[in-house]
Amino acid sequence: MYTYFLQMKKQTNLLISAFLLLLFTFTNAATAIEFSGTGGKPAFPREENPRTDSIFVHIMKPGETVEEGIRAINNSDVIQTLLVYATDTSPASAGGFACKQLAEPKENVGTWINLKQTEITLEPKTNRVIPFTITVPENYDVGEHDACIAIQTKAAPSKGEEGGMSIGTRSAIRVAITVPGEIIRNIEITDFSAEKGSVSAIAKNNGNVSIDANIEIILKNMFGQHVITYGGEFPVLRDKPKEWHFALPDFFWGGWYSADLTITYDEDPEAQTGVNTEGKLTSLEKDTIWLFIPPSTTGLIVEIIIVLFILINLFVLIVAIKRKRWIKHKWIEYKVNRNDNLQILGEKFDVSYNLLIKANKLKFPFILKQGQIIKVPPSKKTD
Amino acid sequence: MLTTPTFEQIIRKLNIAFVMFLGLSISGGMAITGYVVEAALTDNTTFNQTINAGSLSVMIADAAYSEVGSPSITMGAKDFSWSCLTAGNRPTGTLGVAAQQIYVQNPDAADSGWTANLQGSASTNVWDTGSADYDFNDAGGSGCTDGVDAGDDDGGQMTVDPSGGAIAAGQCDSCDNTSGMSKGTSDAFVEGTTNAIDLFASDGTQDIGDWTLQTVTIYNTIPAEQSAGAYTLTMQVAVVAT
Repeated sequence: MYTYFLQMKKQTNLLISAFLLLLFTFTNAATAIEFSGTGGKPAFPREENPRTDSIFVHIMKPGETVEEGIRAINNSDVIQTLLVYATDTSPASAGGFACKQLAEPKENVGTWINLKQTEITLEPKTNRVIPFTITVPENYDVGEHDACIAIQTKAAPSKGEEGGMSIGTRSAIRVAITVPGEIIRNIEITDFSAEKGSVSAIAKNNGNVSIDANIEIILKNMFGQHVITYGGEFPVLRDKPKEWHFALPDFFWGGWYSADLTITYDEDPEAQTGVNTEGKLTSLEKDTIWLFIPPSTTGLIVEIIIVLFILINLFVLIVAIKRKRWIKHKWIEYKVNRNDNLQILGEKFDVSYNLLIKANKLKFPFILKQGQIIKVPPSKKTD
Repeated sequence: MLTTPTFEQIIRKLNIAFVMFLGLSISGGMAITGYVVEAALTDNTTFNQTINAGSLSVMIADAAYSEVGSPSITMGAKDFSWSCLTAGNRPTGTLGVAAQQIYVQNPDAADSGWTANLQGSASTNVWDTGSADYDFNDAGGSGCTDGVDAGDDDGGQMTVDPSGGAIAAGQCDSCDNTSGMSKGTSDAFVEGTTNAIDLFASDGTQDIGDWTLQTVTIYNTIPAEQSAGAYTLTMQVAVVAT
């Protein structure tokens, strides 16, 4: 009976342990990290173009109108009043995509977009679709034309500290409209370099539509071993150069590294933003560049220690070789006298008794016998 | 004294543990914060779960990734100067510090990449005290004199350098800060030519993730003989799905 009791007790303990494990597991789940922002995304993505999950993409003839929608999202914990508005694009550094501000008048593609609602109040953790239309004016030129639909909270950013900048935020979605016709898709690499802890490349789009270019920079060490690959697929906007600057991580040992750049893209005019054709991709390459990457602080200290160790050992080795040669070629034979010992002979021949021991391979307790022949340095004191 | 429990007592203990285990398994599994769960108990119990749509967003967040109420950057104070405060002696500031970092969240929203940039809340904005002002995007005389920009007769130019910035993965366990992440380069605002300066961008390799950017250096060229005062300017960090 008592054995049975012990078995049951073991099972009970197992179950209680399982319970505690689950308790911890679900306690963690209950405090799961959530997305908490506000923003928007396309409400009606199209299956044939996966890019429409994220941005608005359309091929439209002049005079054509399409109906679209943006899903305004409030995943914050408070009621939010959001401003939803269309803007033109704005010139940005490094060939990036930027949108004009709400305060700035629309003059280009922003005027093609007509939102049914420009302000929306959303309860926490809710979203709603705002319909809009895009109409391409008559006689508009062939190629891609971009705009933005931006979302920001209505509340103006509070005034910053005196003598400083206050920072507001907003999110936006690119609207890419292509007017069909003679589409030119062509990019070229204009620069590939490394400086200030990053490896950089610049490509210029010479065409009339944006191109999703796949950039790949492969970094190898001086032994040709692959270290890291940078890159990915980025849009290169029409008529503009696009810059990439990939930060180099800290390398413990540092040293010389080679970097190779390849950019691939679909040159076929039938390709669209988000949809490549089945044809062969065009590949551009640039000559390999070499860059020196400094070691980390710890790595530098270790390297200095190693170098010092090697130098000291080298020095000791050279001294030993030279001494060996000196002993072999210059030292002379000496017959030990009655009162000689190593200390006396060392003083007499101006050499340490340790060297006399080593040179003559004497064994402990290093006692010299009268008449014994040993090697000593040449000296005037020989007489 | 140790007494041997009865068989019923042992079974009762086992049942309590088992019921607790079962109850927690069901309730715990359904009550994960952030997901809407609808459970209908029928002959065949069906579990339905909705994960609310997320969107690409940017905020200025503290170290715990909570939005900062009134984010701001304080530029280094300078004395009145008879000459233009330009490279070497111009005031500097830092956009993105531990307590106010740029925080981008992409919860499966921008699948093909995004770019974050800094821009004026309007390109015609100026540093202003109420009675005096100077520009933040005038390239005239390398920022020291009024150029051809519209809407003001002030010099002054701001340079933003994200090249030394530090990108870090946020709360996302599976994200890293190098794959497909590209930083902007040092550039100055020029009204009508460079209205926005790229801070960092992602190619969409990691279409689910969150990242922070810290240590973007701001340089502020101030024209000569600029009146003393506490100047303010409103800027905006924007993230665009591309």
